[in-house]
Amino acid sequence: MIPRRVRLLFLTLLPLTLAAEGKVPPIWPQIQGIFPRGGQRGAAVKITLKGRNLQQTRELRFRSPHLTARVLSATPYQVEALVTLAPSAEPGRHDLRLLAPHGSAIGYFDVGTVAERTEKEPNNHPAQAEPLPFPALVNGILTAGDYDYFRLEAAAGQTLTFDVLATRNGASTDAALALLNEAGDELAFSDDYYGFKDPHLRYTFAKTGRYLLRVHGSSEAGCDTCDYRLRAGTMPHVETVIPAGGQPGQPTTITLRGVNLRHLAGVTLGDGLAEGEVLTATATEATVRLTVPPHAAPGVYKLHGRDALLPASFVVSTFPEFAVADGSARSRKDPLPVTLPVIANGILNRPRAADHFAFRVDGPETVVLEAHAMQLGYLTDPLVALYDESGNRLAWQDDPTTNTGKEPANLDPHLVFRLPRAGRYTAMIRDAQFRGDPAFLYRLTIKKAEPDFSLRVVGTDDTLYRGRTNTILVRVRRLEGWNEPVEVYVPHLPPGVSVQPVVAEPKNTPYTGTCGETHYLDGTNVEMQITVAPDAPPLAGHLEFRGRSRGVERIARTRYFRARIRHIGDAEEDHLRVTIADAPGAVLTVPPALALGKDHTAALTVIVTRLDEGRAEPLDLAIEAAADGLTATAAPVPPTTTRAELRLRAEAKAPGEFVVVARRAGAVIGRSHPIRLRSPQ
Amino acid sequence: MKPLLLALLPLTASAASLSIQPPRIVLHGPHATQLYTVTFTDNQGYEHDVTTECASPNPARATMRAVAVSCRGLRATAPVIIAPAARAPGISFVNDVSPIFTMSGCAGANCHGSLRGQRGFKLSLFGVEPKLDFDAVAAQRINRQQPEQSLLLKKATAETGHGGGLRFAADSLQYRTIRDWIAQGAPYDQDDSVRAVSLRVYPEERILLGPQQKQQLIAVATYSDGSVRDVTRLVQYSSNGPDTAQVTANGVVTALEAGETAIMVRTMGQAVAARILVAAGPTAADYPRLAANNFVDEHIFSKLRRLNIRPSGPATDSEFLRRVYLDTVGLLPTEADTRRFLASTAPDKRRAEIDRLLNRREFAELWALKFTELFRAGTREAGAKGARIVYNFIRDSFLANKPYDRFVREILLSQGAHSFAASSQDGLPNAPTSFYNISFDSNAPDHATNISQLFLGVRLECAKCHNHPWEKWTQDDFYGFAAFFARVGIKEVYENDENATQYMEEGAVEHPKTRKKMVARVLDGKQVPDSQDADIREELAAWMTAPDNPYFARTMVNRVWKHYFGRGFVEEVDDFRVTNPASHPALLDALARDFAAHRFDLRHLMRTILNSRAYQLSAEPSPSNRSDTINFSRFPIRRLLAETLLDTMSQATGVPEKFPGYPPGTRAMQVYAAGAGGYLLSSFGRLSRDILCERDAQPDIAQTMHLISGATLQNKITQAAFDPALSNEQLLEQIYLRSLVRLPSAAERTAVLAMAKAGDRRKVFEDLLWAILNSKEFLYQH
Repeated sequence: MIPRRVRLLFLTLLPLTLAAEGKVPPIWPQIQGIFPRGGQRGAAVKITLKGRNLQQTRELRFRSPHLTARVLSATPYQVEALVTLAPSAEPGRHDLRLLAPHGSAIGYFDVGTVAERTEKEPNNHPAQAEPLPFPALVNGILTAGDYDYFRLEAAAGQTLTFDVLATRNGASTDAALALLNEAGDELAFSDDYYGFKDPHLRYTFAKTGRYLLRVHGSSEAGCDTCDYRLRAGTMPHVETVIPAGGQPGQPTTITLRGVNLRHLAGVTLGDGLAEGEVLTATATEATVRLTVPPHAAPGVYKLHGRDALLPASFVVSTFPEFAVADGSARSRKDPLPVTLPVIANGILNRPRAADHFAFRVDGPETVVLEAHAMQLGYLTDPLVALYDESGNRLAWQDDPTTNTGKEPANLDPHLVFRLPRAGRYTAMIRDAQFRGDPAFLYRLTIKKAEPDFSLRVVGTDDTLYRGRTNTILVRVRRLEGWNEPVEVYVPHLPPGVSVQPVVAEPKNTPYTGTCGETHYLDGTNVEMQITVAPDAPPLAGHLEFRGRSRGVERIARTRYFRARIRHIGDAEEDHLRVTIADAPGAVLTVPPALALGKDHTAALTVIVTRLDEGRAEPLDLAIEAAADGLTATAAPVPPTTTRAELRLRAEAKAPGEFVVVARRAGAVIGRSHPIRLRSPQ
Repeated sequence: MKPLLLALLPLTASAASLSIQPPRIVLHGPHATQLYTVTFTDNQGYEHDVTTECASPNPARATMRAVAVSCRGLRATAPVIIAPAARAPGISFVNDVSPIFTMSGCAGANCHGSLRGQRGFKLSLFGVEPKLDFDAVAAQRINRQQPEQSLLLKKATAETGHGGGLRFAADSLQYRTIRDWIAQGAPYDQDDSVRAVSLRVYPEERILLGPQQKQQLIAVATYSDGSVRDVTRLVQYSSNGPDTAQVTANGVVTALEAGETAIMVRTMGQAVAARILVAAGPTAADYPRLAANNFVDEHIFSKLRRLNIRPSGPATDSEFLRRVYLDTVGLLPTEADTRRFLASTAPDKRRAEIDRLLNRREFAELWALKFTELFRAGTREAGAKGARIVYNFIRDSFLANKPYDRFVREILLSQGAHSFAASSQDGLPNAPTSFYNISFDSNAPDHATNISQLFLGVRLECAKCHNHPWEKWTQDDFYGFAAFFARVGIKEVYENDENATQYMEEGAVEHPKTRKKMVARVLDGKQVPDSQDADIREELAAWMTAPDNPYFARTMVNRVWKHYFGRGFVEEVDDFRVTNPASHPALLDALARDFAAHRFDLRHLMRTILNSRAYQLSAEPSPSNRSDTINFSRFPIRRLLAETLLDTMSQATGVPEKFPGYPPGTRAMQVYAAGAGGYLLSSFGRLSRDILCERDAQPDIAQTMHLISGATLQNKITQAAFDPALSNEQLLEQIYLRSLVRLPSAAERTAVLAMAKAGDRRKVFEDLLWAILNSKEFLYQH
């Protein structure tokens, strides 16, 4: 079996990590907002993380050694920390892991290259617009109904780019962007820029003058943690790279297309993996010589133009690559001949464009047509087809998986087809919607099939509770004709942890759609039962999931899944991070604040989840850590009751905050977050 | 045939004449007959039915070589052509018996033609499925041994109890036909493919001069074997306007009161109409000469002249300015604009103002909202984001004066992600990609229904379930048209709940009865076979937007005309059919030709209409045109659009509206999402967009109550700022100019100033604003 040398793109998995017994409420750390969500490299920035269960946070950790963080303070709802960014830190998004004794969580942090500032309210009307000197990077928050106005000046013929980084960076902000003239007329507008909800505008001004930029929540949506990072200016902006990949050790000349490229000073591959030399540059195109180092591992890297607005994707692979000259493969009757394996990098530069490649096989052969476009951030939604010598279409594929509500879509086709006999065949690629544009780039890999499988763990972090069996889902995906069972197991188990191997049969997991129809996941889900002994020692480390079949062994990678923004992707760390902790006997879910005036009473609803299974005693609820003058009365909570009510009375004004505790037979078995008391409106 | 350009005929004295209709009589077989009419044309050009006075013998028979009539000192002839008998001898169920069910009303929607039939007897609606009708009749309702005892006949003659009463008498032609058919064994046609393929009525249009004037209609059917037949006694007649003219079962039309109507004539799945115009009398000798600004006026005034209706006088500058602003940009002119216009003495100032308005951004926004609503943007999954993209696309198209054919082509061929809006400079197609999702359910028949209605003015929907009862469209036509959209699908894509419209690799539409895979076919036209690598919607778009397409340009012209006049030539605007003829067919055609000839330039079309005298007539009725509602003899008064009303309230008070989800400063006309904008907009007719329909322009009590005491107006009035630097008189003028686009009259001035002097100035002017904004002068377009 030839192992897969390149596996860029992957299966998708559900973010389900379940406890085998009674479901544990989310008492592990959850990050809801980070502000500012980035900083300029070479600087230090104080950030605030907001969320739940953040108490006792002891560390914020980056994978990149160029980024460090120090926790300054931590409460259940908020962590403050100082992040130091080395001048050598790679621009772009980085995983930021929060570590606490009861679990861990991942957020994102963006490294920028220009000086940053924070928007200043009030800036809700054009008359209050803030100046926006270029290059600009503004960190802002969009509350509900909030409008942030910025004023700028532009010269006739000048091209400016505006980019709002929000959902791509883990924020739940659904932002929109409008460029207005001085009279308030809308010149350009962007809400969702293609595959993500972040707006993005490029605009060439016809007249010299003053203009306004408006950032706001789509339909005025917003929240206290809905942050954004607005980048704007005349900086170089690379939209396409062709070829968008190269082989290790091979020098390659790549063409960058975009705007404001005339002064592009150079490019950097990944985290300083290689430097590219600019050979020629015009406003819209630059050529760069780049040598991928021989030791570079296959995978997707970011290509950073120096001081550029955004990075572009660049793939290191071991297959021969070539750039398709514009229009050279447009004919079905006269396709461009290629030899397998090969990666064609092309642009569908006009509507209805389709590129065709002819190849030969010497006998019956299973071949693969694999397109990469949307997963690399390009606009093309590819469709591939395979034709025989007579022009008959043998097979086609559009989307391997669409968004069925169970899992996100994978719109880049991966067609595997058995050719019946030796001969000349033609592979075709086009945009599925017949669109075309100079930015419609694709990478098409044509090769013989290499049957293989891959594994993914959904989620990056998990808390395993002592004395309980915890379930973790692993998705096994069979590739290019692999049709054998795969045994999934966990080697190198920590003390006190046990898990039985599970066999994934070669059959995709079915599920029922909302109308009762049957769908299949893109692979087979297996449930790994992780049992933690009551006396298992503390652990803050990793679990490695592996799969083996017919002598082939693969290690599972982890993927994050951000349900609120339906965002899925590879985590920087390969393995699932686990924390072993004690589950409390009862979890008390309470609101973060309660309105209560002096000499008034109020009802506090407490959701009680009992994890002390099998115990029949009732619970007593009480308050703790309360300031003088706050009293509470409550009836015992029977074992089967999940909703209780405390009557509170305040005899003093603004008595501060308090905690609800649950006692069983006098012993505290659960404790709520602090509840802030505030005066009624 | 009488040309449909009747209304354009010069009304000059000419020689009287006599004519016969049909002008050429064809008789198939020795027993065939043909009724005919004799028309006397007087020296004013009016036509009179003199058949009963002059025609004898009638009908024409095969023994005659020609019909010759001498009457009133004139003579007319029509040749009689004897052709071979068309069909086998005997009575045909399909072509003789089945039509009786339609003409007698048995196959109507309220009787046995209803969905479930009546009392166990079900006929196809208007006889469009004769085989089904035969099966229903032959099963239990005939007695071959004793035809007269057949239940079918006993019920129809009311000899036994019949909920529908007497349908025909025992000595009638209908009775004899059915009885004889039963007597010959009640067979079904050996070749039932010989069907009526067209129907013609004589005359197609006629002016009747005053009440009680009569006109005999003649109906002639053409069959699929090429034969023709007099079916005057075999068709069903009905009047679209029974107050204007009535029609008997034998096709005799009687005028009742001045107006215009269509007489529907139908049988065997075919339907046509005769236009009947009832004039109060011939053109008076002192009828004024009316100057025309352009060909629109020539058509409008010519018809008015023939109907002896005198148009109202021209609108004043103030009336014109207010009207053209509201209709064109949905706003009132500013005080400065009004003063400038009223003070101008330039002879072409109206033309210049029209040009200015057609270039304003608000003009594009008004039409963007209209089409956004027609496209039902913002419903279903695309939501407000999708609606915004559709709105922006339309707005930008109007701003750029994109030719209408290109605009529609881009919509028809749209594909891509629904929430993705390319920047206007990205070079990417910035099309309303959610058109196929938010407008309709995602299936081909719905696309066919809606696209034909929206862009072609053809309501195909009936033919989805059965052949169209009032039109020629069959189920084959419907599903052939739907096949263009067989591969249009919606796919869920990306990570963020995005959807995309896509022309799929595969897809087919089946005929629901035959289960046959349909080949796409344009209406009345060629088939377009599906092709693996082609998007056959391109063929459809090419056909639809061709300059000579019989529906495309006319539909948009009609829609635009309705926008400016409150009534289309064809009503409803999207219901073009032969049985719903246009009020001004020649003008409609002329505007459509002009529209196409100018590369579907919408601004040109609108400019032509706005510059016409017809548009610039006063809304004040005269004794001559008081009862006229369809000939555009005065400017029709109508309620303002909901968005225009709210925006002009904001203008008049100086208090803008804040719409949730939209930036401050947004006007109602810019609120693109479905269901947005608040109570005032919905109560004044803003659509929920659940279905494709036009707005209801009728006033109701809820609207009145909301204006009188609702929060919208109250808040604006109480927040209105009255400039303390202005004197009472200056403030009075400002309020009148801002809200009514005129200066106050002397009486108004005196009354208000007296009150302001005596009382609380703010309260007086608040009351004045309330009164003005509740007045018909403000609330109505006039």
